[in-house]
Amino acid sequence: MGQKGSQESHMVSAEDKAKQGGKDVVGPDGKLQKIKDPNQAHETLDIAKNVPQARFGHTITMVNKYKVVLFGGATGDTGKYSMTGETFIFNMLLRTWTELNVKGVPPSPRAAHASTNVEQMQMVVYGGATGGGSLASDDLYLLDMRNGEDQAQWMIVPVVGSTPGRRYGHSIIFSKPHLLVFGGNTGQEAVNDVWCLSVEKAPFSWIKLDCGREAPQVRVYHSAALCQTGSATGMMVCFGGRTTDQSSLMDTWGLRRHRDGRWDWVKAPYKNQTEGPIPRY
Amino acid sequence: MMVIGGRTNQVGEVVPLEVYDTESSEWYKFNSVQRFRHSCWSSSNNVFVHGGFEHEIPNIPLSEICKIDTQKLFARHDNLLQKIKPPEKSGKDGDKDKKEGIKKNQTNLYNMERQFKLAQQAHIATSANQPNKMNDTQAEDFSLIVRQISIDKLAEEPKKLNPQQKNHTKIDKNPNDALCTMFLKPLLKPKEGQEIKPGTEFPCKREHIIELANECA
Repeated sequence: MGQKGSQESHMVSAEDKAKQGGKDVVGPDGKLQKIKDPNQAHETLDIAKNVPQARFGHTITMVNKYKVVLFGGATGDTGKYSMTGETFIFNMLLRTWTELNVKGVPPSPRAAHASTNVEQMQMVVYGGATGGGSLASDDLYLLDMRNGEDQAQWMIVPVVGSTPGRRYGHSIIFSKPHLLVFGGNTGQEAVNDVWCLSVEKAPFSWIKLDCGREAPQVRVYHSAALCQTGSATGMMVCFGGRTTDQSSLMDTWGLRRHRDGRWDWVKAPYKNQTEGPIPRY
Repeated sequence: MMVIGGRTNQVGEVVPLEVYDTESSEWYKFNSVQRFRHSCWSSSNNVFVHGGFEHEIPNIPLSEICKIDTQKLFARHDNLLQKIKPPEKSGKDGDKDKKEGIKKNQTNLYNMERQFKLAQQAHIATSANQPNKMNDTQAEDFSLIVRQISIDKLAEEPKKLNPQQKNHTKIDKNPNDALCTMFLKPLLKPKEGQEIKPGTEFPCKREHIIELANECA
């Protein structure tokens, strides 16, 4: 444990980067070819057809064992970004992209929104920015593909009462049966509130959770995921992000629900504070 | 938990791929795919990174998918390797223990899979208020009411303990059964094959064949 030798990363130079991607050599056809290093941990997938336009601030959500859905994001070059509201599905077995011909009401074009799967072949999208400083509505959108991808349908989930409100750079995860929205920026400020919607309780309603005294500081552009193994199964785990003074964060927090229905945050311990992760968003 | 890419307060700062061991609370650093405002997901032992920007060209987004093989990434760290599942060998690994991918903008969190081994034996305790009561002194000595049995006999225990009650133990069906059945059924009816007329569509779909090949790989 704690071996110094385990730190095999350092600043990556352009040279290192070339090494990572494999060497370029001229092939028999006169074109540059990449030689793949078999020990290389990462490789770029070779996909020729139907590749969605380059983008950022989009979401990719796993909807079953072999399929992920891309929604939204911004495309274009500096200053000329445009928001998209397209829905694509990627099949990891066939390595094919397909733009879904969706029925119903798709979410408006947006970026910096959040999405998560809800069981198999269903996913939700919440919030985001629509460009020019405006934010997407506070509607919860559901993409239902249970009748097949060719029958994919977007709809707005009917919700009663108050909502987490418009926000971007937040996170959403599904810890069955709860959808949990955390943090982000409301357009005025970064926040650290947690909102919960039970998919088993009709009519659907958002509840702002009281998560006890200790809570992570406000943050936007953090990451969140659901812990799926071990004793913390079902816990929402959050890392990093950017806080009010624009500084990056390096802390990890877990949100768990107790049997009596209370929710509380726990901060993940770091064994060696001096060698913690690099703050980032 | 894996953290991939992202950016810091210093423009262009290269950040390593970092991995947090939830058991030892330690962080590990690796060479990274440099991305920010990207999206990630994971499937079995691979983590995929799509879109976003590279630091060198921070104004033109990417359209490619980069695959990170965690087996290769963790090659020199036995303690991390132990926490990820070996590549699928047979159709026995079901959906339920498969890590569903999770992504988010910027950085990615990803909770490592751990391998669980089932105990070979189980302990059965009979509660003290069973019909044939033991006397008080005996009941307090738990060693007298606890028996060790082989794990494969466990399913039979409820019948012994309470013969009236039905055995509720269900064995989870292998999710790949459907796939196996799809291919096995036609093979078990060889006579039907003789009647296929020329021009009839091939009974197996391309996607299912690939799925089958993937399970067997």
